[in-house]
Amino acid sequence: MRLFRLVAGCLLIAAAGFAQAADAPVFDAAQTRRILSHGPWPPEMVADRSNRLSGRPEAIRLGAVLFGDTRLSGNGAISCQSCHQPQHGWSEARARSEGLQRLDRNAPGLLNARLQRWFGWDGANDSLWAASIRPILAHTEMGGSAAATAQLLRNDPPLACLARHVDPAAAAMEDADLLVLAAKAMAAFQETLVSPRTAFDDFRDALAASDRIAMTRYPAAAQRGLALFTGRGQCGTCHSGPNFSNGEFHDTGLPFFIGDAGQPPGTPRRVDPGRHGGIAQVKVNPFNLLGRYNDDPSSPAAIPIRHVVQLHRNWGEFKVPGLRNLIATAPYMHDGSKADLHAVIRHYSDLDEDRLHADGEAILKPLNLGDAEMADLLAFLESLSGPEDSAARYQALRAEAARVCP
Amino acid sequence: MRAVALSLALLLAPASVLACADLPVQARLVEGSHFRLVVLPDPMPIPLNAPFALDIKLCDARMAELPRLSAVDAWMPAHRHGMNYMPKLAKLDWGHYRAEGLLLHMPGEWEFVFDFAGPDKPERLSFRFDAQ
Ligand code: HEC
Ligand code: HEC
Repeated sequence: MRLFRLVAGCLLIAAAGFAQAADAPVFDAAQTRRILSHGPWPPEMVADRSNRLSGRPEAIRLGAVLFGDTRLSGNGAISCQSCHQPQHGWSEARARSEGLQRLDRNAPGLLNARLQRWFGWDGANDSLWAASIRPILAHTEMGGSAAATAQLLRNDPPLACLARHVDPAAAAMEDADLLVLAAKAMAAFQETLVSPRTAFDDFRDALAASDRIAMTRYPAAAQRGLALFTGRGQCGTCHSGPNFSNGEFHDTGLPFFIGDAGQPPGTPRRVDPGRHGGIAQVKVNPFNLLGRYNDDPSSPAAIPIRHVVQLHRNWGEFKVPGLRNLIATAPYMHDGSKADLHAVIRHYSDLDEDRLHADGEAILKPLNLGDAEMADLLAFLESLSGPEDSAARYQALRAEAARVCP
Repeated sequence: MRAVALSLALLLAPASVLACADLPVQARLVEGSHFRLVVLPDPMPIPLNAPFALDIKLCDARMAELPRLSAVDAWMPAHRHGMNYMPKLAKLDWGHYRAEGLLLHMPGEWEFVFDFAGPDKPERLSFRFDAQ
């Protein structure tokens, strides 16, 4: 009997040693299924049927050039790149963006943007190309116009040449159609911004293949963080799927009021309506997928806007962001109010339950995490990042454009 | 006049009872008071986080007693919230409907709810589904 116990014990230790470091968690069947649902990565590249330029090399090239062109703005000084900077994961280090005026929201990173269903923190756009028109026309952001954009594409020799490669009839198009062409080209470029495979993806694939040796390469702290994420933390309820986002909108209990520091006392405080306002906007947007600029009205991408309804609880809801390559995109949240990932984790740990809608969802609860648990969760979130070369590819596309159309 | 129309309808119907044969294994069946509800998702199985439709049939009901389906919805009992989308319901034929534009945006248990109006009294049928 004692011998049996000894042998069994040795076998167990050996098995554990192979499976993972001694302090790594063991995942049950339900958790394993949840972990597998966060992959595989990268997802298959599917063309956006609402955008006839999606995936076309000439359009991607034109889009990369326009993305960095300050002449799309009213004052000739602001480009997309001013707020979506390659070295910051196509986001920026400031909390709230500054265009022609200071905005209420943080510029989201653009890696994996093509995987979204709704665009903007409030989902006020339903396609990547419509979301690329918005900043050009917004008087608070770039303050440009369809007429000025069209003139630029017609009259600037290199841009006119690049546009001709995309569509030989470009020069003869109406202003609005040329604006849409520019936005669709920029969308085609942004579709190529995909975050790389990470340590997490290697672990996930090893788990799928029951490759215990490969699984041990994933640090024990990240594994414990993953167990929290898919277990007690319930993070995957909203941050679901390979991109860690369900593409929908929730209230995570951030303060309602927009922090306008330095305002004189007595200034009325402002509230960001979030998804409530976004639904109202997307329904009346002439560039939405129900409008005439959608290149394929039968595309399944046009189903959600037909059925989306504005509900009282949408007030103060914001889009669930994906969690890949967050390392470069600090600060976090729609208002940039969390300086680093540790601050985000602390927010979920100390949630103010009274602040969350009483009639709302019953998902988020203060997690009251210990220091070690917070460190584990951080190790997991950091394992969703990896080195990526989109900045270099952006420069290469721009150089290629300069060669093709000097 | 109404009586004539009614008897004509009964005559034209292949039988006075709507039978549903050859149901795929993935069909969900729910027993109603005097009919069976048969629900077929499209695509199958129900996807998580992507739009889908439901093909809905009322089987084994006598034509004259056929209730009208008035609403289809889905919600998560544990989270106390429904979908962010309003399905559109269309009647295709006697006892045959299609609901478009449903989307389950979270993993976990959802309850599908089907509301019927008359002829005698309203009736609500439901089934639960674990979305993963
Ligand atoms: C002044 C800063 C600024 C400029 C310039 C700017 N953006 Fe943005 N961008 C933002 C902010 C802030 C948001 C979030 C908007 C919201 O939630 O309402 C955003 C959102 C987006 C989104 C949605 C991303 C998502 O995941 O939801 C896309 C796509 C985008 N911008 C592309 C562009 C393009 C293309 C240009 C140039 C034509 C551009 N932006 C110019 C600040 C800027
Ligand atoms: C109820 C849905 C929900 C759950 C559960 C949830 N999140 Fe979030 N998460 C969101 C939303 C919505 C935002 C954006 C909030 C905002 O900006 O107002 C967000 C933002 C974040 C961000 C910031 C990303 C960025 O780019 O700004 C991180 C990191 C994050 N969540 C991690 C987690 C972790 C870790 C957990 C589990 C402890 C978790 N989330 C649970 C909905 C959720």
